[in-house]
Amino acid sequence: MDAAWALYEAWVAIQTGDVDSALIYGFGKSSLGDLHEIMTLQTDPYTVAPLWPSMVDLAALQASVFLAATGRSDAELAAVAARSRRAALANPYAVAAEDVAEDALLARPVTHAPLRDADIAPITDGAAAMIIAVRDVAERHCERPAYLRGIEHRVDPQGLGLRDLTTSTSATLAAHAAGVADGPVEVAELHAQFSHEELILREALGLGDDVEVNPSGGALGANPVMATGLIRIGEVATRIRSGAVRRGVAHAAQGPCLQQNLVCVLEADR
Amino acid sequence: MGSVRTAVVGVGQTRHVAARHDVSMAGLVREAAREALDDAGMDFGDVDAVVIGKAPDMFEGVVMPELYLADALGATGKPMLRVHTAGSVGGSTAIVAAKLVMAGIHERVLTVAFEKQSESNATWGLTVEMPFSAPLVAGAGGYFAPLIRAYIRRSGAPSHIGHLVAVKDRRNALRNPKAHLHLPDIDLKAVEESFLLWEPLRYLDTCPSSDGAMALVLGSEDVAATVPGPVAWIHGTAMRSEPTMFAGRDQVNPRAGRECAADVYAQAGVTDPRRDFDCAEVYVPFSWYEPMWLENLGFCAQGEGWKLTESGATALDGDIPWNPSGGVLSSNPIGASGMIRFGEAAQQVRGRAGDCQVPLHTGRALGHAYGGGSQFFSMWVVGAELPA
Repeated sequence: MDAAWALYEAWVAIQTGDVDSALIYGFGKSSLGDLHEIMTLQTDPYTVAPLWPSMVDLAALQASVFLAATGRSDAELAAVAARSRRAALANPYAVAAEDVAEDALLARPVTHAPLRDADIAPITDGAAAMIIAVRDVAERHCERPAYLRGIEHRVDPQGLGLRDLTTSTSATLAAHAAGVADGPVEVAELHAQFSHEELILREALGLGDDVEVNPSGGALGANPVMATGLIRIGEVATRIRSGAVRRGVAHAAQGPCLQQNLVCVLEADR
Repeated sequence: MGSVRTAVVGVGQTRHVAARHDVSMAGLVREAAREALDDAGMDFGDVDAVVIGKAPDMFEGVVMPELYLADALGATGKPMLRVHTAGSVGGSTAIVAAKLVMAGIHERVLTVAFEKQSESNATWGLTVEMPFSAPLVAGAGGYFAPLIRAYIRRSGAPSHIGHLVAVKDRRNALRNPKAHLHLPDIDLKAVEESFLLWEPLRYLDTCPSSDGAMALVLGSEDVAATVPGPVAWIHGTAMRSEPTMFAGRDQVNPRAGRECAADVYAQAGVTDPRRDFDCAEVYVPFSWYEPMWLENLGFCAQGEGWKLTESGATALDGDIPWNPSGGVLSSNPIGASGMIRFGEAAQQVRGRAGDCQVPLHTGRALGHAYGGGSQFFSMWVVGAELPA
């Protein structure tokens, strides 16, 4: 599971009262293998994996269904990709960063219709770590801690014929349970490995147009698999700790076509 | 240990066999889950969360199989977690599930662990060089045999001790209808004459390769009051890990195992495990690991484990039966094997162990699992009475 779920496990340990603090880490070294083909092995081993769809093929299928059902165009995908790549310029940890306009991306070739390379998260090696602690400990070590107000995760059935690919039901359930709508959302970091996933997730999480999404460049800027979700949470926490924002939402996902989703709400005390 | 007192309220497992050609992996886990839910008087809809465990994904070649299995286990729209701690995973998975109840987050949690070794190649899965670790090139038996030889040299144990365990656990398995191996004719001679795999381990000193799944339903004190059958209260849980290799590491008697046992005993108020438990279900995949773990878990002094085994103390009619179910030596669906230990310990204190039942005096039992290169440990203590 992505290290975001390790954070959940650490949060559970703190809820039991057994521990006061925990170190969470996750890492991915996707350069060593063929990530897109390896992820094929996440699918049903009897009926789907033998057809050998890569994770990009499955994402392209979802993107096609989403665009067809909503009447949106690939220009909106390019807008997400261009904004992410420009935002990544300010993120020293990002690998896919460039000052590029939406039109310039649209002029590039479609590799997995309707997706272009810039719509697909880059192969990335990387790791992330986080320390969480109960309030007393956090306040001793940190001037402005980012408090976890809600952390919830839900899963959908995997079968592509068993769910509505134009949305992410489990992301909506997790967002509701985590209390996303209980206050203003200033910033959101979404674990979208493909441009269309950001559009699906904005709706699934109920984020308005005023919410700043993926100021780090998101997974489209850097995607160390198994750490990418935790990084989303860290990016929101960092912005709260710096005083840039007071309340934000972070999201992590795994499984084909946004099958499993974790949503957490982070907040400053004041 | 958390504020909510937590119990095992349902137990289910498949009949473990070499190859379940009649079911998929999803069918296998669902069969165990269904039996556990029936035992608890529940249905899939009553469950708040699902926790899945299995050994490394390399075995069956399904990456993160919990994603594919979510639907079969009724997890749609619910929280679903996966646990990975190699061979100890069945135990760790039960503990992760129990913590969700202990923490007051959920009331009813279904936890399932499995392996389908007929669709897998565990020795290959453990041998292939992984990018981040030293190559093992040995499978499990080849890895553990030198540690067993070190134990024999250190303790001066005579060579037949392992064979005694091999016979004892297989005879216990004859009483367990779910056990994979039913070898009615096994005796010391048969073990001694079986072919040598890894000195000193002979074929009958080793566990089988099994298809199987184990499921538990865990509930809060409020839930425990409403279920139809007796429950097993969780009196303590502990996990410990250490790296596979470091200078000065005692791989025969790993520190992580000793400290894990000390932790779980302290939680449960156990001071003399031989006296304070009615039985123990301990992860013994190779016969010699019984005397080795008797020492590591503090059932006797260092160097004395083989004497306890030789005396018959760990037999079904001994004063501290180990693996009355037949243990890992009789059924080894790897990812499930730890949870089977935890579940069989629970069945004992519930009085539900059938022909494997031991007499209950203290009403408490130990469930144990280990994994990796003797580096991951998980343990729980269960009891018939509410914890103090």
